[in-house]
Amino acid sequence: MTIFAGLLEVTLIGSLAALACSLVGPVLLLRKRVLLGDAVSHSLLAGIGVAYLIHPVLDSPWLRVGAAVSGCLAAWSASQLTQVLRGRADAALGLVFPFFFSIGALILALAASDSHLDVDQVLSGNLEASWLERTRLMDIDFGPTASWNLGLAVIVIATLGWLGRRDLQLHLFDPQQGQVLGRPMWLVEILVVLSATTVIVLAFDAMGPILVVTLLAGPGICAWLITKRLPTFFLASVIAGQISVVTGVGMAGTLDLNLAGSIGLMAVTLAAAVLAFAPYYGIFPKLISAKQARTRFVARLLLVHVRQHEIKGDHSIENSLESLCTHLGLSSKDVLSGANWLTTRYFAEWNAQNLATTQAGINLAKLVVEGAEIGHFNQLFQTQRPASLM
Amino acid sequence: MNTPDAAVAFACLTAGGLYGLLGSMAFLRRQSLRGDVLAHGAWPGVLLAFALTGQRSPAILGLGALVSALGMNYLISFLERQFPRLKGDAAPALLLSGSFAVASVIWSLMQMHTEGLGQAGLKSFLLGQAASVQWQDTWSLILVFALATLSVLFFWRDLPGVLFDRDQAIIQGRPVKMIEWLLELLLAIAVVTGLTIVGVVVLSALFVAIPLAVRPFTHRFGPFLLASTLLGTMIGMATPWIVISLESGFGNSGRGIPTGPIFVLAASLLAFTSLLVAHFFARKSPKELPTP
Repeated sequence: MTIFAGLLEVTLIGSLAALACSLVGPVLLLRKRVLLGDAVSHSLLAGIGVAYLIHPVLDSPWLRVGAAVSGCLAAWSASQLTQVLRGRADAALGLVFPFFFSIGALILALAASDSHLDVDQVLSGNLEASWLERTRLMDIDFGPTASWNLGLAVIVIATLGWLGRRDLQLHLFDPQQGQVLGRPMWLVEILVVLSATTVIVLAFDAMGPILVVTLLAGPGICAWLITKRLPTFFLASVIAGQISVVTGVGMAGTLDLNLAGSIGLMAVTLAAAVLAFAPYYGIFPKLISAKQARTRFVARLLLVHVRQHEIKGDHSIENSLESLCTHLGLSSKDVLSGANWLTTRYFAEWNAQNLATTQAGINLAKLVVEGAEIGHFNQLFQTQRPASLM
Repeated sequence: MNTPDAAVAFACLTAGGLYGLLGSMAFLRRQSLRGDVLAHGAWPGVLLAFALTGQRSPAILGLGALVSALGMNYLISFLERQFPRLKGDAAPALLLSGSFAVASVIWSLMQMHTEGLGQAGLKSFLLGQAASVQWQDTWSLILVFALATLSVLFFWRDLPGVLFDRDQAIIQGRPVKMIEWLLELLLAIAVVTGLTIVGVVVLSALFVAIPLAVRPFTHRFGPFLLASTLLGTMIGMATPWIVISLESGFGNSGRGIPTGPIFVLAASLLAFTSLLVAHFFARKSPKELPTP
């Protein structure tokens, strides 16, 4: 009974963490600063170390406050450094996070080496044990503290995002326009960084620093490839996060694996699947549409060539498969696929050994050669792609 | 000179020079975080090599790590080519954290199936085990440093073209593709070699901090590379000395001061100082042109 309840609560904590991360992740992704999550989550160690120096109790809330403060400090100094370095965000992050991390590691090694607080313990999040810390009010058990913290954070962040949705949109897509309109872009920036840090600090206990980044990046990338509007972007990201938590917990339960690791693995697998199969942008759909475009091009070429020989009158010798291949410099496979495109649409037919145009084919060939109506032409031949987000 | 302390000192010195040299080129290619990403990407390879062969020999683990890091490098460039919107942060973030997730799943599988596998690993992975560096580790670092220096010298004439104006270098018929491959291979080898010796955090800190400390003070390619290599070596030389003097200052209360964090703090404090100095002494307005 207890183990079952524990599993349920662990799933709840995991899915709340994924919810929080998948709300913040898209914002960071669209501004191209997901690695800020990585940097902040490593920098928390400094705050934990300093808080432990001041108040050496292992499970005090002050550790979490210290972590949040140092995370915010790291994010702020990274943004200041980015300005000093003229936009080199990678260098700024790479300078800031090892600095904070090393301060934390040094303090922990010097001051806390005889206690149980250790870099290993801080860095490998422990989702399995996260439900053991309970919230009690007047001796009544109100469930795990982690889920209360995460739930509150999700509610606050979602409310803030909803209230400031227009400004958030400006922040994501056109900050300069927002400044011109006199919107408080600095406030949006601060709120975004603050909520990212809060989410990372809270999810960090459960997931560890690096898997937090998986939950920030994975669902967001899934959503980025399959949606083109902001609300559906967030919705898809949340759904992807929940799917990866549920399947991850299932996999960890059946195979007895590390819980956080398998959730992260599921998030990455989902992202890989979306990258491979997303309509229009995925790798395989793009390959297929490139092949189709090639076939359509060959078909157009064939049609005009065949029609020209018909007008000249030497179609009985020139329009056989072999001479089409040699004259157009294409393989017989290409020519056959193009001819197949034409015959299935009744633009041409095989007449004995020769390709011959039909009346519809004659009209189309005229259209192709005259070529004046480019727009009409495009409508006939090209797949319409949706305008991309960004 | 046969004490382990000398090995540690030489390892620090070589690591500083090596990562200063490679980091300055990575900085110019706007790939300062690539070392961090590759180091995380090497981790599943190490674990898989250990799981498949059951040996802890550095050659096999290093080979696994190298294959995995190169695969990570290829995947990043593949994703950025296929999905232009993932350029910049997204692809490295996904692959970095994803490979770590894969590694932790492999790790938990291994713990289930292998007896007597300790919990050691993560900390030494992140901060290295500078205290237990042997001479063979130091020699491998020196070898990689020599390799990197030789290849940089060999392509000295072509490097600035590749780093600053790729298209122009291609038009001039320089071996751009080959040099880029070589740089990426060197980066992967250096990261994999340093992974167990200095650790991820130290490695990625040196990668960024040393070029940043030099960058404000030179505008030429050769001096930039030379100065960051020399500065790296100097910080590497200073680090063991700082550690020893701190330990004697603290009265050596039984706890050794870890070398890794000191190395990082020295390098990044130097970088902060140099950025501050450069900012402070920066000309506010461009120098007036002399009137003819």
